[in-house]
Amino acid sequence: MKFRISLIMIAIVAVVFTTGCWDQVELNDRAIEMAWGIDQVSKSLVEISAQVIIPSRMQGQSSQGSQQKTFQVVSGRGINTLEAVQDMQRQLSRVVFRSHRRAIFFGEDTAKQGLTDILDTYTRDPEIRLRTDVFVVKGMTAKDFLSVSFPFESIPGLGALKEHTAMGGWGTEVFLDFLLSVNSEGTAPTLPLIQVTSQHGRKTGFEYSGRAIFNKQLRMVGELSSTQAQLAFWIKSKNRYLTIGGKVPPKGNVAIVILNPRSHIVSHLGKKSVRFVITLYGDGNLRENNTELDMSKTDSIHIVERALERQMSKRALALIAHVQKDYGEDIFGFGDTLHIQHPYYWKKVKGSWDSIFRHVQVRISTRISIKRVGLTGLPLHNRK
Amino acid sequence: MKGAFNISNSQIFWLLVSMEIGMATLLTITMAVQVAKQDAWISTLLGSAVAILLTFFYVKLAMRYPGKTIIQFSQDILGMWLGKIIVIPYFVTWYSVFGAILRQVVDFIYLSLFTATPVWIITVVILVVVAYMTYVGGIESIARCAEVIGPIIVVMLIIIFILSIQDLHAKRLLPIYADTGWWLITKGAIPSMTFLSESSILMVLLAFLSTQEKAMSSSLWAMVVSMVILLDTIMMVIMIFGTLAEKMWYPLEQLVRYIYVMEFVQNVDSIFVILFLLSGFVKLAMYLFVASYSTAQWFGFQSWRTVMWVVLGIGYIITILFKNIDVATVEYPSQFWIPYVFPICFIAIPFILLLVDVIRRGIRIKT
Repeated sequence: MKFRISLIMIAIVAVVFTTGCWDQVELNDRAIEMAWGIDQVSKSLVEISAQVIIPSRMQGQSSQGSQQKTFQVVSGRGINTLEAVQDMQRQLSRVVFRSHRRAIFFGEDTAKQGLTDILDTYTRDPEIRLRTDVFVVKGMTAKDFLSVSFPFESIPGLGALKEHTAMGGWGTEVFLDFLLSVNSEGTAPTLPLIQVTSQHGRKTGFEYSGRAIFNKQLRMVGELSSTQAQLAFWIKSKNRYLTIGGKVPPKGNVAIVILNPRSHIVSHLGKKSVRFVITLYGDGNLRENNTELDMSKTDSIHIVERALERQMSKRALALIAHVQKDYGEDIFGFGDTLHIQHPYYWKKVKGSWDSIFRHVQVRISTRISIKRVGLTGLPLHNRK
Repeated sequence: MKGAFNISNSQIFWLLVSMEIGMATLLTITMAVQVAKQDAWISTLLGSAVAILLTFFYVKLAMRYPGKTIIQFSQDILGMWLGKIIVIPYFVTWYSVFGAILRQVVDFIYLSLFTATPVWIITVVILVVVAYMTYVGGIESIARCAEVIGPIIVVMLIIIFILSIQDLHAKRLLPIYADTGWWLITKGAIPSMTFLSESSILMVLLAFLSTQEKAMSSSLWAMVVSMVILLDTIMMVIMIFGTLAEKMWYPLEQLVRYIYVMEFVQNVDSIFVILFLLSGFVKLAMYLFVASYSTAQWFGFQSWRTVMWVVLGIGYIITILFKNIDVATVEYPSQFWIPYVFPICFIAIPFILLLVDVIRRGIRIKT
C-alpha cells in the first residue's frame, strides 16, 4: 500500500512536467511573423527579412492607430537562413515565431542565381509549415518589397497572397506544388510573381504579375504575364476560375467567367516525336456582351462559344510555342502526362525530355459551354 | 503463478488495433515509398495480407494450448530445455523493442513539441505512467485502457482523413506498376509486413482470454481494420505529397500539419502527437507486461511485478544507447527488425512449434 501511494505521488509530480511549462513561451514573448523575405546578398551571405506584427497596433486600427504601421520589417544577415534569423533576433525583444507564416518572398536576383542552396530549412524545420505561398519579387529585393505598405491589408504580405488567390491561384499550395515539380522530370517549376506599383515615384502597393519560370537547377529563366500564366494553368487544370474576353465577329466583344477550367491532355507516340492533343474545357457565365447578339437565342450563344473557343485555342497554341522556343522548360507538365500515359516510353526519354519538349507537336481545341448569360438577353440600351 | 487475468474478445481487438496503427502509420510509409514510389500502397496491401495470414497461424498455434503463453507451450511441445532455449529470441526482441519504441515516441514528441525540456524528463514521465498502469492491473488494465484509447485513435484518424480530402490528387498515384515493377513492389511490402506481424504477441496475450471461441475472429478483424487504416493513410500521403514522402520522417504528421480547411481548421498537429502518444502508450505498456510476465515464467519466479523493474531499467538503458534518431527510427527497423526479428521470431519459431505440435499429436492419435 505504501508503495502504491508513492507511485501516485510520482504520477502527480509527472503531471507537473506534462503541462509542458518547460517549453512555454508566452504569446507576449513571441514575434509573430507573417511574411518572410530571402535575398542572396553575395555568394555566401543571405539576408532574411520578416514582417512582424505589432500586436498593440492591430486592435485600435479604426480610431487613432490608422496612421501607424501595424507591422515592422526586421532583417538580418548570415551564411544561411538560421544564422540570419539569429542576426535578426538581435533587433527583436521577442522570439521569432514562424508557424503562422503565410508567404515567402524571393528577390528577383536571388531567384536568378538559384534557390537550391537556401531552401532546405523551409521543409526541415518542424516549426515551419509546408502550406505557404511563395513569390518572386520582380525587379526588387525581398527586403525592399516587404517594407512597402499596402492600403488594403494591415499585413502587406497577406495582401500578396490574397491577390494571388483572387486571381484564381491556389494560394498556400504553391510551395508544395513547387517542390513536387522540382522532384519530377516532367514538369518545370514555376512561382508566382509580384511587382510593386508606383505613381509619380511613390510606391502605392503591389500587383500580381504572372509566373516566374524555373529550370531544374532552380534558377529563374523567364516569366509569364498574368494572362499567360492563367492560360498556362488552364492547360494544367490548376486554375480555380478565370475571366476571358474575346472578339465576336462581325463586330463587338464579350467577356465570360469560366468557373471550372480544366483540360484533358492525350499524348500520342509518333515514329520520331511525341504529339499532344489538348482539349481545354470550361463552363462559363457570360457577364458582358458588347455585340448585337440577342443572348436569349441559343444560336447566339453558340456563335459566342465558337468565337471564344477559336481565340482561346489560338492563344494557347501561341503560348506553348513561345515557352518551347524561348525557355524550353516544360511548365505545362506534358512530361508528366506522357509519364502517366506511356510510362515505358517515358523511361527511355525522361533523361532528354528538356530537348524533346522543344520540338513536341501540340494540337489544341477548346470546348467552352456557356451556361448562363446574365440578367438580360439583348443589352438594355440596344434599340433594336 | 496463477493466470489471474481475464481479458475479453473486444479488448483483444482494440489492443491489437491501437498497438498496430501507431507505429505502422508513423514509420512504414517512408520506407515503403522509398522502394515502391507511388505504388507503395500496393506493397502495403501485399505486406498486410501476409501479416494477416501469419496472424492466422499465430492464433491457431496459441489456441492449441488455451490458457498458456508461448513460454509455457513451447516447453510442452519441445520439452523443457529445448522449449526454453527456443523462446530466447523473443526476449531479445521484446526487451529491445521496448527501448526502441520508447525512444521513437520520445523523439517524435520532442521533435514536434519541445525544444527546451530535457529529453530524460519526457522519457521518465512516460515510463512512470506506463509502469504505474502495468504494475497495478497487468494486462487487464492495459486491455481496458486500449478499449477506451483504441476507438479514440480510430475516430481521430478518420477525422484527419476527412479534413484532408480537399487536398487529394488521385493523379499522383499514377502511373500504377509501370515505374516500379513487381520486384520493387514486393520489396516495398517488407516494412508493413514486418511491422504488422507484431501480432505475434498474441501467442502470449491469448493465454489471458476468457472465452477462447472467438479469438480467431477478433484477432483477424483487428488486423483487417489495421490494414485498412494503414492502406488509407499511405494512399492519402501519396495523393498529397506524391513521392516527396520518401524524404519525410513522418509523412502522416506532415499530412496533419498540412490540413487547412476554410481558414479556421489549421495547425492541428498537436492532435496527431496525442494520437501517436496514445498508441505508443498502449504498446509500451503491453511490451512491458509481456516482457516481465514471460521472463518471470521463464525463470519460474512467482512475482512478475518484481521483474518489471528490471525490464524498465533495461528499456531505459537501451533508449539512451541509441545515439541519434537515425539509429532508433531507421537503423533499428532496417538492420535488426527486418533481417533478424521477422524471420526468426515471426516466422521460423512459430512454424517450427506448430509443425512439431501437429506431427506429435498426429502420432499420438495413431498410437
